[in-house]
Amino acid sequence: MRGKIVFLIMAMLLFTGLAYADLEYHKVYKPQAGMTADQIMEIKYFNKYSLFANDYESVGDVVFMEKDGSTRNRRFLRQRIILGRASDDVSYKDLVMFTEPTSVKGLATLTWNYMNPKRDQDVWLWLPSLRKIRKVSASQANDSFMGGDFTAEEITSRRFTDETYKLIGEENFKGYTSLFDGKVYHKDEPCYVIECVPVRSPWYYSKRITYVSKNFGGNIFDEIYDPNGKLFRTIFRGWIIVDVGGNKYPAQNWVEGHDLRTEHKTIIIFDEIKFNQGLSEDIFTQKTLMRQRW
Amino acid sequence: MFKKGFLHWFSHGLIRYRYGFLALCLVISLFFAYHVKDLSFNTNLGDFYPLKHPYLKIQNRLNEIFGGLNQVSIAIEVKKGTILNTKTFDKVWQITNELYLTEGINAGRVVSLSARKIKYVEANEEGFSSERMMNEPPKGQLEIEQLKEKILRTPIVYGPIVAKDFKATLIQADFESEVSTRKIFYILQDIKKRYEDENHAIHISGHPVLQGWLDHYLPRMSRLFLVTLLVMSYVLWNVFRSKRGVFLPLLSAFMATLWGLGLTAMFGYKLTPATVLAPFLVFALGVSHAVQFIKRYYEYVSKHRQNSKAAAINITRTLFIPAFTGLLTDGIAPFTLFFVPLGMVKSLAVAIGFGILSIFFSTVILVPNLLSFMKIPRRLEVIKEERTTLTNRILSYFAQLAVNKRTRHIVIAMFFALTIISLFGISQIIIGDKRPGTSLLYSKDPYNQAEKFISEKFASSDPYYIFVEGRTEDAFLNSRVLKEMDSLQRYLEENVSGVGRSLSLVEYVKGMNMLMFAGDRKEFRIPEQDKTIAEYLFLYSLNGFPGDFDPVVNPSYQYANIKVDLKDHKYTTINDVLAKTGEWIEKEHKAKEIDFAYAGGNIGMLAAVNQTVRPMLTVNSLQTSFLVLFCLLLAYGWAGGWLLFLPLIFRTLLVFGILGFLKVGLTAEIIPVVALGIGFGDDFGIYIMSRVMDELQEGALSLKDALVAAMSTSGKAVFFTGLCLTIGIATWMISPILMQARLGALLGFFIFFNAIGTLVVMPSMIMTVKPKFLKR
Repeated sequence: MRGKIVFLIMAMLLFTGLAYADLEYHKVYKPQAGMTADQIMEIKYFNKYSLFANDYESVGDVVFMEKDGSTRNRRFLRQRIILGRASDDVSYKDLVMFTEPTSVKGLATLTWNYMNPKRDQDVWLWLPSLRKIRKVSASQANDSFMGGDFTAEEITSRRFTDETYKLIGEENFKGYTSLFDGKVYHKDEPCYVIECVPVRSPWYYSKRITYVSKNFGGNIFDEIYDPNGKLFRTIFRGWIIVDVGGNKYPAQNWVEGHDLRTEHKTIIIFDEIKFNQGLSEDIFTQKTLMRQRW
Repeated sequence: MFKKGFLHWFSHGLIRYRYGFLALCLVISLFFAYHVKDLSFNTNLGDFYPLKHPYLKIQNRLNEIFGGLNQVSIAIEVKKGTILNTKTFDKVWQITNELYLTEGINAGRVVSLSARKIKYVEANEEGFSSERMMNEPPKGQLEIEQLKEKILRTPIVYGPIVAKDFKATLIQADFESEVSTRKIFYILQDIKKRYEDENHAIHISGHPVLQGWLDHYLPRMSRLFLVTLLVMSYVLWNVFRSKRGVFLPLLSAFMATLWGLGLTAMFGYKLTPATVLAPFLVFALGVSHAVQFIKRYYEYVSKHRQNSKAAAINITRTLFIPAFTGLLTDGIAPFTLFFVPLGMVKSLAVAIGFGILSIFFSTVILVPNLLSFMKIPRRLEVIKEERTTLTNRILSYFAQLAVNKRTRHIVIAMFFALTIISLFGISQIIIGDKRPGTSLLYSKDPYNQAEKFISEKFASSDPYYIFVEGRTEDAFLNSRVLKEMDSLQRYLEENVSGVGRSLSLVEYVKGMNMLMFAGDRKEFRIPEQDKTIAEYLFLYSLNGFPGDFDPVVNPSYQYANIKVDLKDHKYTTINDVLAKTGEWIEKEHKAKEIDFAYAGGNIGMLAAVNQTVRPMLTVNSLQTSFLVLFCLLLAYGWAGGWLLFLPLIFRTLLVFGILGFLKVGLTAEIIPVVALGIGFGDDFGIYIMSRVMDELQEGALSLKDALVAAMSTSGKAVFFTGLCLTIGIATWMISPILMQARLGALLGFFIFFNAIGTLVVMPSMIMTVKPKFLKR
């Protein structure tokens, strides 16, 4: 029966990332005119994982929208400490604690991410009902992220070196109308349009076209094409700029995945986003994981 | 008196306005020909099941909630060696990927070695790891060995997805309900064509594939129709040895068939494996009735040498009543069949019903009409038709059996004795089909070969589903509920010999629990705390893409199912598992949070058919018999009615006794066989009895003389009528669709047996009873 089991791993990978050799931790970077596609994408990845900050905290709501419009919700609290510490190779540590549905309140995952891109993440799972911590393997890149319409690599583990890039244009983004709340986001945002081709071939996608904001270096919209060259999924990311002591930190507050084949949608809404709260590294240990604080 | 007046008025009117009637037939034929062009071949498997049966309703709910309506299985077989080679694994990986990319695929239900939801899980003291079983095909021997180890350690894969002897591997997929089965069939045939090679065979099964094969075979029925036409022409030539004797029955039957098809098309029916049989039946029936008219025509012109008009008037007058009664009783079968809750039977009934309605016009109106335009046949033609043949000699022998007091008593006694013996045979009748695969196709058919192969290699032939419905959301996040499901599964596994294995949410929860306790086998159990179950199921849901876990439980945890694999679908196995399920629910089901409903899956559908066939067989036979008797009593009075009816029922019992002794498993097609057999079977007796009456009225000296004359005239026609009908039906036996072949064999045998039975027994019964009404 053991083999029958298909199980979790994903949650613990929330917003993990990797170190970027050319960019220094705890600094904010923005794309500049004349940069190559590679340089733009490097900044994009840096910003995606908030490596410019010391720590990060938010409350996330995951909404699964079925084809018929019905929805299911999950809620989690996320804390991250960004270390970029060469001595023990730790890039950052992530803690994700589920608070809804209430039946699983307290279930949590702790992930340690390393600077060495070849080193696997360490992931621990906390099951409050059994009061047990289990060390689990990291999810595979093409597995689902949190049971939604994204792959793990799209949200947590894709590296700068996983794709090759080509700048195919610059344009003002026409805006994205959310399938969840019907609002239009990022209309007329000036963007670089970059074609990303996976190094791995064959892979579940043949290419993606990504729109990276010139203003803050975050990618707003991805069009993902299957191996037959057919558009099969889109991912929209909404961004806000958070002022932290005069520093302008870009932060994702909305991720919306739309599977064009199944018409299934997954929306992640981030709220109460806070940076540099002075989180202690002690929080990100197995021992603390066992102390329920939520 | 009224009857005579009407017959006079009708027969004269028909010939007086013959141009008008002919033009009317032509115009209506053109009208229906126009509609027939829209008739297309289209199989709907729903036609073979009683859709209003509670089991089918459960199956529909299972399909709505968990998917699986269009599930298909693709088995890759390696002819030499095993699947443990890069080429085979490449094929598995490529086919699986291709399926994921196919429009309309239900990706959550794709299962294969490289499917996204098939994982290899390993537990240790610290925790556990999980990875896709085959994220990419192995590149060398080392990777192949590693994969083999993973397969061997994963029970959900070793056996169900990879054959125990490593000779084959299975890929399963499901398509959205909007995707047409024809499209699915072509997608899969294309995959088969591209991935098969000298060392790899691909076997494909599943409902859409079956439907695809049936659609593929259906147009071949047109060729069978030509065969029927040729054989029937040969028989007619042997009977009449004249062009008009051949072409007139064919033309009239063709018109009836055309009208029948036209009406079928107009009412929106398509040519299905069932309705496609109607043209054959209508054609054969049309020819057989026309044969009686032509035969009588030759007799008339042989005796009277008048013009064709007079002959046409005469045959219309004399044959109107028997033809009308015959067609009325023929029409009773489709009428009663219309109320059988099986689409296949209903649509067949409609198509035959329209055809029989048309035969009335083609035989009673068109045949005399056309004959009236023809010249009186030459003497030689009449002589040829009347020559003594082997048939005449045999019929004369049958008549002699009836004339001799001793021999006729022996015939009747034997007939009764055989009927009584047949009652024992009837008690041996088996309902349901026990062979692997579908009873719609031959066992050697590629579809059934594929089913057999998949069933043998992966032990997954006959799934039986129990629907578990929670009264509220999150009903399955409950230890007591899961323990009940577990108890039911174990009960069925232990108490029903035909049960192989069972699978439900329970196994997933138990498996996760075992992983949390370092893979300790003792921990393969349902946790006591509801919260732990909720956490486990939450972890599963986090791991898969939307829909991946849907085949087991719905996202709100309100609906789940138990899949029980049965080793076969024998009537006894099905009954046993259903009875034991019912017993367990009645005695052990206590949890108020859930309700159990059964039976879904292939087993539920077969059980629904079995449960429909048995009572419907009785109800429909009685309905048909009652209505036939009613018509016969109206037409021939109390004595005549019973004299025609009782032997018919005895012959029916005899046929079923034979089927029982031969252990032929009776499936849904037996219902139309019985109804049509009874409905059509009395035609023969009607024509003989009418002829005896006519002979007596026309001055025969005695009943004996009348009977001998009737046997040599109408008896011969009855023989060829029966032969024509049998041929028309028996050609179905060479259909590639087994359901049609079985229907053809059973009904053909029934009809021919009825014809011969009538010719042997009817004269003896007439001579024994000597009913007075014959002389009226």
